[in-house]
Amino acid sequence: MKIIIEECSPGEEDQIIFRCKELNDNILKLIAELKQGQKKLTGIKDGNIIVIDPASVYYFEGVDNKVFLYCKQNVYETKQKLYEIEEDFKNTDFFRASKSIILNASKIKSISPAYSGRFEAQLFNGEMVVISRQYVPELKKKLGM
Amino acid sequence: MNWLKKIIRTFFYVLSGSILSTAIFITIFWPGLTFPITIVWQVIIMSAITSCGILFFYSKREISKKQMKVRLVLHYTYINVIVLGVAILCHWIDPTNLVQVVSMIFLVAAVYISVNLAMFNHEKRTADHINQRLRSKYPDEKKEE
Repeated sequence: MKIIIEECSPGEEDQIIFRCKELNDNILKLIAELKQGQKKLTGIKDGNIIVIDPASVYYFEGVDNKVFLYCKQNVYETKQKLYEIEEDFKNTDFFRASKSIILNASKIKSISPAYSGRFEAQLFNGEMVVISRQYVPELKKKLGM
Repeated sequence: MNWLKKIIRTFFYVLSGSILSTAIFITIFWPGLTFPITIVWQVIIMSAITSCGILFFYSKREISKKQMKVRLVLHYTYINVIVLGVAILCHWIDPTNLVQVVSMIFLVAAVYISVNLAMFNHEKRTADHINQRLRSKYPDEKKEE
């Protein structure tokens, strides 16, 4: 991809123009990242607020009206709602895996059948997460299948 | 719609297994006898009713592994009740003949295992395709291991 930087006239608003044949996954992801800027997540653990890079999150889980984010080894609570996270990370590697889980597709090591159309995802940190039957098409779409 | 597709797919799996079982059963217990076309319709109707048993796995909430096992037992019991009920009602077997009843139960188990294996294979193929796409889309993620 060619990157051209042009200086704009004084007083003119900065702008980014994409010239492409089609809006493919990579460009959509780039747009999502630009829109988010350097957006970070905040997690709470033992009363401390920690800034977390979304790329290091394995999955988000809603449990009893609380939302937790799971990194490679640590678990943090976040004050964001699952539906807000889903909206914020649309067009990224995150997808809804079940009613209570939003999973980072890039952290899936492999998946295997779990009967009745469900799949079990083994993550790179060794954890297992169930992908509900109704959300499998979302994962396929995310992978361009 | 997804469930309707699953019922239809299961119906064809069950129908193939049932026709094969009927052929084996008739060859063993009534060799040389000819049967009216109605027996084919009886098998088709029985396959349709047993295929609806897949609704035992329907749930609006995520099913735990324990719940899944309970539903599997209920599903298998439902299949046995339907098949034995239809077999007795349509005079395929003599309920007083233990060998015929046991053979029918054995055939149900054989069809049940075959259908589940076929469905597992279908899901396994889907999982393999997803795993391939995961590996090609995220080739660098292995580094995290």
